[in-house]
Order: sequence, then structure tokens, then C-alpha cells
Amino acid sequence: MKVSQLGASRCEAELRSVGIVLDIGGFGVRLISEVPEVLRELPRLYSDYEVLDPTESFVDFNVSINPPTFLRRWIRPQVQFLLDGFSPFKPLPREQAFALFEWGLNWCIANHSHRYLVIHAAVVERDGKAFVFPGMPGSGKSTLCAALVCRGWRLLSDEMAMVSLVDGLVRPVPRPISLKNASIDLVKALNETAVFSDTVRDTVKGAVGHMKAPTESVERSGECVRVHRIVFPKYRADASCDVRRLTAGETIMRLATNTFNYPVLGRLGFEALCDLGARSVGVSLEYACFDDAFRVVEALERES
Amino acid sequence: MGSWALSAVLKGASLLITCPAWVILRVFEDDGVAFDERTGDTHHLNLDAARFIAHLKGCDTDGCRITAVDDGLLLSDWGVSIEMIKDLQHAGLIESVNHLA
Repeated sequence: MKVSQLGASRCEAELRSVGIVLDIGGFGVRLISEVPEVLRELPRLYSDYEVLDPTESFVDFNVSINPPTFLRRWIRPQVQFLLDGFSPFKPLPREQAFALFEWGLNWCIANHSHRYLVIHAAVVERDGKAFVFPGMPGSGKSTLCAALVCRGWRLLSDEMAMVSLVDGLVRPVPRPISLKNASIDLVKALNETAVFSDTVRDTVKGAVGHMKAPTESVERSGECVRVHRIVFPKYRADASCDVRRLTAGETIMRLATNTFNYPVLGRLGFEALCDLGARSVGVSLEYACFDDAFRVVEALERES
Repeated sequence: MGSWALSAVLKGASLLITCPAWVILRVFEDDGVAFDERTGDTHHLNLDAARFIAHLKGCDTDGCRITAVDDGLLLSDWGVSIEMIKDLQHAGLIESVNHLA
């Protein structure tokens, strides 16, 4: 059963009581929350996700988003992210509750998925060719990812490339795409039918909004893909389009700095990164407008 | 031998160089990367350095003996300079640079 089939009132009732266990890219995530922002956004942005039976499924992450204390329900309301009762972050203002769920889930996956190289990157796919866009915050990877998704590319992730240590394939974990500041309206203009969360202002990242993952991407989250190209994007408003092919060594060094669990994996991680860098061409892309970026990505897609 | 002494290597002198077992190397078409399992550091190498370390790793545990052929230039077959030896030594990718002669 999907979240959309639960019905709004049952969804809210379960979130408030025992929680809902969602299948998010193969991870079982139980969410408990009574916060209005979560109760509103979850059915909107996770409507296509399967609801798992908690008695029959392994729950990887038990998450709750609730006020940290009774007083914080009413006085300058705050919310706290708890994973198995442990709070990895400081509480945030209540209006940021859904964003906190997304950020917290990123943290959970990045810190508990050592069967994979977890690269800080957006990933999209078309015709069996996955493009990985690694980048630090502000590089424009999520914006480019959202723009490509609006053009029909399949979303694998806007935040983490999960590369299997066994076969080198990317495991999709499609979730809402996090957009910031000017990117929100930019992407909204590309696809007027896409579903967006309410925009939350004054977060540490500025204004933040989430775009719902396309239904098809969620339904195909079991289909792993081989990496075709690794593109390191850099958005700069006044840049002319600049594309440079990287050597395998340069690609690996750049990937290493963007891989969350590289220090944990040691030799295994190095060898997996080398395999990835050796078989997938790395490209550095500086761009100022989507049209340039689309042209480059689609030219790279045509390469064998 | 410290890198200060490397600077004083004379033409015709021999050095014995080894690559530690904890250094893992991958050589590609244009360059290479090395991983130091002790520190967790990853190093980017130009092709000459990568091939040189690959050669060292192919030598037996006694290491590789190379001979200075000119001021600052060692073993012309490998195009390895004193500077490169120093850099690799500082990075922990080679060790036991012994002045034998």
C-alpha cells in the first residue's frame, strides 16, 4: 500500500501514534511525528512510497520529529530529530520540521550505509546511463538535477550516489529534491505540474523548498544502474560554459573529497573509487544557464 | 636518509628505495593514485611518479637500487628527479632511501 492510499486522516493518525514505516530506496524508515508541518508535507511529497508492515519489515531508521520539550510546543516552537531516541542535531524552529526530516535522513543514510560508497552527489539516469554530479553545497548539483528530472531524466538521488562495493552499480534512493533560494523559482518555472513543499525561509541554508520525486522514479527505485559519466558541476552566474575532461586520477581525487564514508571504508573505498574512476569519464562543467548544461550532458550521454 | 641528504647525492651514487607494503597504487593512462593504508591519505601522482612506484612495488622487498646519473637526476630510464623522490618520501609513499655508495 502506498502513502496516497492510506488516506489523509489515517496517515495523520498513524504518524501521531505508532508511526509509518516507509520503503525509501530499500531503507525501512519509521517516522513518528505530531508536528503540523510534517503531517502536511509527508503525504504531499511521499505519496508514491510504499508503506511497510512494521511486523514483517526490518526498520533501518526509527525517526521521530517532535518538540524537544513541552514548553517548546508553545513558546518559540521547536522540533527535534531523534534517531532511535538519540538526537544528533540541535533542535530547529518548528517551521523547518520537514526540512529537518530530510536533512536528518541524509545523515542517517550517509552514516549507516557502508556497503556502499556514499558520494555527496546528485544522480540521474536515462537509457541505462547514470550521470553522477558530485559537488559541495552551492555547486548547483541539486538545481541541475531537478532541471534534468523536469526534462524526463529518472531521479536516483539529489544528495547521495550510493555506489555498491560489490558490483559498482548505483542504488537509487529517490527522495524529494532539496532546492535553495533562487533555485526554487527557477525549477518551478521549468515544470509547472511538479509538486513542491512550502518554502521555508531563514534556515541555515537560506530559503529551502523540496520538489517531489517523480512517481516513475520512486516506482523504479529497485533498478540499479551503471555510472556513465561523472560531471562536477559549478554554477556561476557570469560564467561562459566551460567543459574539461578530467584524468582518471583527477576524477578519483575529486570523488574522494566528496565521499562521506571514504575514511571509514579504507582500502575497500579506495579500490571502489578507482574502479569507478577508471570506467567512468570525469568531466568538470562550469555553466551559467540550463541550456548550456543540458547541451553538455546530452552530448556526453550520446558517447559510448 | 633524510631529504636534506638527498640534495647532496652525487653523480654515480647509488640509492636503495622501497615502497611500503601499506601503499596501494593504481596507475591509469594519464596519471595515478596511491592510498596510504596507515594514514588513510590518498595521493594524486603524475604518470612518471606512478610508474616509478609501480616499479618499486614490483621489486623484491630489498627495494630498488637506482644510480644518480647527473646532478639532481636519477636513473634516466625512469626520469625520476631528486625533487620527485623528496616529494614521494614526504608523502610517505617511499622509504628507506639508503645511500649505499
